[in-house]
Amino acid sequence: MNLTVRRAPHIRISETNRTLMVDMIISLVPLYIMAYLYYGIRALYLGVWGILVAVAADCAGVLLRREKLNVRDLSSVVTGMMVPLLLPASISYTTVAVAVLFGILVAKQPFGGVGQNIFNPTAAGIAFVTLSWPNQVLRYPTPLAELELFGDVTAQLSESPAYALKMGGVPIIDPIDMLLGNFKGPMGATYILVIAACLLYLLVRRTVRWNVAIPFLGVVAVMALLFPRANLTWAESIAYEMFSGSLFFGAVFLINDPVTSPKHRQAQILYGVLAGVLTMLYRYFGGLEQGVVFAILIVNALSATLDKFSEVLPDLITWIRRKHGEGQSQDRSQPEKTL
Amino acid sequence: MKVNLKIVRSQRRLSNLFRGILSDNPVLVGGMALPFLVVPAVSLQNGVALFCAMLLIHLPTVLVLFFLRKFLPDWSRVMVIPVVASLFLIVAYYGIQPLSPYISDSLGIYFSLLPACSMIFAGCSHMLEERKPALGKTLLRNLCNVIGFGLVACIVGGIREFFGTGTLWGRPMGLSGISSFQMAFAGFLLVGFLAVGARLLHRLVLRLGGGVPKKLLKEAAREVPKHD
Repeated sequence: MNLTVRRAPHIRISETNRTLMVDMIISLVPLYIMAYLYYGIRALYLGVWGILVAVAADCAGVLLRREKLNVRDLSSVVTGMMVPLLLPASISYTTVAVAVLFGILVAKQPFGGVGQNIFNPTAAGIAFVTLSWPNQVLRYPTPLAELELFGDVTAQLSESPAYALKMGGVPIIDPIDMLLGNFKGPMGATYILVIAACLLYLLVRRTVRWNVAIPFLGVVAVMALLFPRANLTWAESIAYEMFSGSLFFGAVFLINDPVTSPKHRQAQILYGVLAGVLTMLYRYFGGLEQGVVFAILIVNALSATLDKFSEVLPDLITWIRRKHGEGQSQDRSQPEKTL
Repeated sequence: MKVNLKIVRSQRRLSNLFRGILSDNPVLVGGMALPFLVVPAVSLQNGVALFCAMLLIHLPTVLVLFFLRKFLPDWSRVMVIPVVASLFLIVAYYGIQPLSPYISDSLGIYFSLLPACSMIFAGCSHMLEERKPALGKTLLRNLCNVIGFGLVACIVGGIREFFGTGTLWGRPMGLSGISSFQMAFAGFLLVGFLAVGARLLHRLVLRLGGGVPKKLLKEAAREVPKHD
């Protein structure tokens, strides 16, 4: 028998960082097509601008850290594509650039770049611009409105249905419009059917795991059912909570980030549950209707701890069982005292 | 070995000049007094007020404890240091009033918390742990620490005011403010980036200050004895 000595790793899989990112890009493209159909060419320009800024910032960060540029790394392209999709189509190019720069230069590169970041760069960038310019970020144009390609947008802007829900009102959206994204909201986060198809694609490709997204959406649905924010039927409450803002987009693209989410299955489920609870708490008690990115940033910080906890969990269960067993056996061995 | 000592001495002489300010900065290196920079240092005026208040509390506290050190058992430090520092809080209150009549309100609860600052506790404890502390040396070290803290407070306050409200010392600078700079997380981020900046600057000073020629460094690397 011929034995050949080879260097590790001995187990190889076809999945790489590049294939994961390519899958993400493929699933983001339909959202840009929808954004183009609803908001015109400005949506595509914003996307291209986001990618250019993200790639430039990533290269600058890598060079500042005195590392080699990796041409095959597409993570910055994904960040650059996702940021504009979570913002209104009327957003200025400067705001997009600030969000992307914050995400890459503050939330990603200082921690060591690709695969090392604790916080999701997209969520960090969106959180920063939401806190900095809430009037610009949380006011949306009507779908199919004509938007100028450059400069200030003259179209009328107003709040999303998520804001009406936040204020205790009842948003009025036709169910078909809700599924097709024909209502005011972030440029790429309202197309529920398309995002659901993307989720399916990513699940089939195993780019995302059900362990995070399904518990997250499940907890949101349960909380919406138990504690509705307005005078709504249970079905309306669940539908509006899940689909009227950027929650569904976050459940598919943000929370499943393989770098910032836990690695173990139990930890992933707990992570999804925690993210869901925090998102709903933000919605109930927070000042802004945009709660999902803040919740994701908080659970990102807990990700490593959850992984450690899940490593200890089997030992803990065994220890409790053993203790319980010892207690029971001691009880059995001691004769009952009779008066 | 002769070369090694030469290098060590020249480096130490150079870094001693900045100890507490750049190298060994209590905030940027030690991570002390962080809450005072993250929350109340939202303007240059607040930064200067924090510096003045720290100066008026820290140094007199060290001075008083220097003379009381023989009467203080180790277990009493935790109580005595904040109590002595609290006495000078009143002095600090009147000391910062010329900056603005509302300055102590602007600093809020953090002004009253200054006597419990970790920097004061660390400075005093260090002095009390020494066998024979020299007064001048102790005061100089603590003064450097306070200057280091004040420098960071002023920079953080200035940057947050400039970008947060578009003003500097209350004067408009022709910028529209970014409200998130006034939030606590921006303070944390700024302190983090300043820590990186200070480290880079320190390295640059050592390199450009010229204490160590490259030739000596090479020789030193060759002559360092290997420990088994």
